[in-house]
Amino acid sequence: MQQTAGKAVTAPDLRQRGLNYRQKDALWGYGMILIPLIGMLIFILIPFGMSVYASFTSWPMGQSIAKAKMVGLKNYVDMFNNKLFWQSLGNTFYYMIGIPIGLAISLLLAAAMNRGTRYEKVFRVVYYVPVISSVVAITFVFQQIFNSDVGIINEGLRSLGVSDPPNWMSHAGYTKWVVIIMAVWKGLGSSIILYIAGMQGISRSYYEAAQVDGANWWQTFRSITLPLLMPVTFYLIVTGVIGGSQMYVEPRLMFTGNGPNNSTFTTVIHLYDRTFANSKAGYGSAVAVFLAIIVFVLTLIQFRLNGKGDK
Amino acid sequence: MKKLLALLLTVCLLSTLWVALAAADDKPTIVVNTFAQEHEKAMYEEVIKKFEEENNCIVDFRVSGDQYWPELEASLTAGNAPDVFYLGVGDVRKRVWTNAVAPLDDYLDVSTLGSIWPEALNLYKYDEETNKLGEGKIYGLPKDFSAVSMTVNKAIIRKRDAEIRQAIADGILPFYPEIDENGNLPVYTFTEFANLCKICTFEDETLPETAGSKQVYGTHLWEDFCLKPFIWGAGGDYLNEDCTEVLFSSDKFIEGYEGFMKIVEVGGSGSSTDETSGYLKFLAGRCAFFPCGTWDVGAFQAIETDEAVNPGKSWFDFDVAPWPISDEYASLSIEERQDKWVGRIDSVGFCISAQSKNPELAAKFAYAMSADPEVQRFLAKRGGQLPNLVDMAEGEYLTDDSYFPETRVVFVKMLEGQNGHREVSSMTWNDLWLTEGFNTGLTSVWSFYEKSDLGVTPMDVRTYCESIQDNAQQLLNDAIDDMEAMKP
Repeated sequence: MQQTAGKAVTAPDLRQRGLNYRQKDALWGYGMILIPLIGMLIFILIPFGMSVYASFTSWPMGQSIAKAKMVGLKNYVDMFNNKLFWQSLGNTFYYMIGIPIGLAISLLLAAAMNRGTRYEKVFRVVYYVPVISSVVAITFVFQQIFNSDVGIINEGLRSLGVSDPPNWMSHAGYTKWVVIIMAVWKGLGSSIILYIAGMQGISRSYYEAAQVDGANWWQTFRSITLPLLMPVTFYLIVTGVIGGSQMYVEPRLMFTGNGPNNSTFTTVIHLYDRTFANSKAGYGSAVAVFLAIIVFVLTLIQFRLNGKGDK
Repeated sequence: MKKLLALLLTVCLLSTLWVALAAADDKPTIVVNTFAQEHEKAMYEEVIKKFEEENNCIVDFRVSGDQYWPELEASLTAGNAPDVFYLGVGDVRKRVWTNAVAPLDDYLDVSTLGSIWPEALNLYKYDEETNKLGEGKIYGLPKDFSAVSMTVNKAIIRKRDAEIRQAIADGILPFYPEIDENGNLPVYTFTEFANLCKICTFEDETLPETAGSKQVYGTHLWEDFCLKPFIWGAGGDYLNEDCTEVLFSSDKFIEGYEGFMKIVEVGGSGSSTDETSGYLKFLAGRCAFFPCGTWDVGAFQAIETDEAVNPGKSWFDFDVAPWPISDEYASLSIEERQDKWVGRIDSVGFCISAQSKNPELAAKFAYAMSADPEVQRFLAKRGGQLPNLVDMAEGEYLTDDSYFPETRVVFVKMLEGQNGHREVSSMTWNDLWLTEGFNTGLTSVWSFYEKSDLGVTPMDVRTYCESIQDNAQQLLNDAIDDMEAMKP
C-alpha cells in the first residue's frame, strides 16, 4: 500500500491507473529495499558524514557537534605528526599476521574434520566453543597461561630445560604474539565452519575424476579443494582485515595500559582514548576517517586481486 | 477459549505495567551515577537508603567501572546525563562552557557550606565573567577531599625488627619506621627509604598459602600513581606555576625520579615483569610499603581485623606513613623533616545536570552526601573517606579512637596543605602531556635500572626525561590551544 496526497492507494487502484506487473513489482522491490537503505543512511552514512565533518573541528566530547569550532586540517596534521599514532598503526598491521596463520590452521583442521570420521561433530563443537565464549573469560585464561612465573607455557618450557623462558606479558617483543595467539585461537571455530561448508559444496565428481587420474591427497587438495575454496578464503581475508584493523578488546583487556613500550597499542585504542579519555573527539574522528580509508583501500585491493585470480 | 485466555493475559500484562508505572510515578526519582570500589558502594547504598526514606524519593544509584569517565562523556554528548554525577576538578570549565552542569547556588543556600574544607570547595567554583576558577558560582560539592599517603604493613616491620635495628646501629637508617614519642612521623630520604625497602625484601615462610608466594618486597610502586610524591619530595614539580611549561628535564624532577628508581636499583621493589600487581601483593601481606588513598582504608581495615584470615594481625597490620624526601635533607633531624614530605591531594565532586528534571532534589542529594555531618561521620568511620567538614576532620576524627587507622593524622596534615600537593593531571585542559608525553616510554627506564631485557632501549632517568621533554611540552601547548578553541 502506498500513500499519495493523503489517500491510500490500494492494489486495485494501481490496476485502475494502469500500472503493469513489472511496474508493480518494481514498486514492491523499492519498498522492500527502502528499509535497509534507511538503516544504512541512519546508522552508516550520516554517522560517517558526521565523523568526516567532526574531523575538521576541535569538537570536545560533552559538547554538541553543532557548536564545535572548525580547525581545518589541524587534526590530520597532528595525527600524522604523532609518533604514537604511527606506532599504533604499525601494531594494528602487525596483528594481521594472525590472519594467514588462522586461515592456514583452520583450513587444515577443516580438511581433517571433513573426512567423515567418527567424532568430527564433537570436534566442530569443541573448536566453536571459543567463538561463543566471553572474551573477558578467555583473556583471563590466556593471562594465566602466559604468566611468566606460574603460567603453563613457561612451566612447560622450564620442564624442557629452558632456564630463562620469555616474559610473555612484560617483554615488548612477545606481547603482540600473546594477543595474536589468543585471537587466532578464538577465531578458529568460525573459519573452520565456513571452510567445512565450502568443502561440502564442492562436487564429488571433481575428486572422482582426480582419483581416476591417479592424483594423491595433496595434489587433490592443492588443485581442487584450495581453488574452489577461494571465495570462502577471500571472504575470511576481507572480514579478517576489517576486524583486525578494529582490534581493541583483546589487547586492552590483556595488558595494563598500552603494554610494555606501547607494544599492544592499536589504532582503535588510540582513537578511543583520544576521543573519550582525552575528550578530543575531533582528533578521534580524524583517526577514524583515516582508518576507514585504509580499510576501504585494502578491501578494494583484495577485490581487485581476487578479480584477477578469477580471470 | 484461546481468545479468552489471550484477553486475560493481555489484561494481566497491562495492569501489571500500569501498577508499575503508577508506583514509579509516586515518588520523584533521580539518577545518580558514580564509580566506587565494592566497599564504598556498600557504604553509599546505606546512606542513600536513608536519604530516600527522609525525602520520600527514589535514587537510582548506578556504579560504573573503570570506564566511568568515557561513559559519562558519551552520555553528556548524547544529552542523556544522569541527574547527579561526578565532576572532576579539571573539568569544571568545560562542563560550564558546554552547559552540562547547573550552578548549585540556584538550589542551595551556599552560606551553609562554610564547614566544608574551603580548599576543596574552591575547586568547584568558577566565575564565567572573569574566567577564574576558585571564585564565582559553585558547580559541585566535594564527594571527598582525598589524600594519598604511603602505608606501611607493620607486621612485616615486626618480622624484620632485628635487621632494621641493626641498620640503625650501622647508620644506614636514622630511626625506626614508626611515630616517635614526640609525634614525629618517620620521614626518610630516598636512599634511606630504598635501604629500608631492601631490608624488607625477603622470603617469609610464615605467610599463609593464600598469599600466593612467600616472597615479600619492600614496596612495588609504579610511576603513574606513585612518582609524584618523590618529585615533590625533591622540591621539584611536573609543571610550572601557571601550568604552561612541563618540567620533566629539570634537575629537581630528575632527582626525584632517580630517588624513585633507587628502590628498584637496590632491589627493594617488586619487578616490572611481576604479573601480580603491587596492590594485590600488599593485600596479601607481601609488600611492606604501598600508597594508600583515603578511600582504601576501609578495605585495608577489613583485612586487618579479620581474625579468621589474619589471626592476631600476624601478616597484615597497616598504618599510614609519610612519603620519602630528597637526599639533600639527610642531615636534618626527624623534627626538621616533618614539613618536607609531600603527598597527593585531590577531589571529585557531586554536580547536578543542567538537564535534570529534579534539580532541587539532586542538589539536596549532593548536599547530603557532601556536607551532612551524620553522613560524613558514617563514611569516615567506615574508612571510605576523610570527613569533608574541617571541624570534624581536625576534631573528632583525630581524637575518637573509633576512627582508623592509628596514624590518620598523616591524612589531615596533607589536607591542611603543609604536606599536600594538588594532583597535577587535573590542572590542565587534558593530561596528554603526562599520559602520552611521559608515561608511554617508562619501560625503557625500568629496563635500565632492573638491568633486564624488556625488548626496549634501556635509558637512565636523565636520558629518558630529556628525550621526552619537547614532545610533552608540545602536548601541553596543544592542550592550552584546545582550551582556547573551546572558550565560548
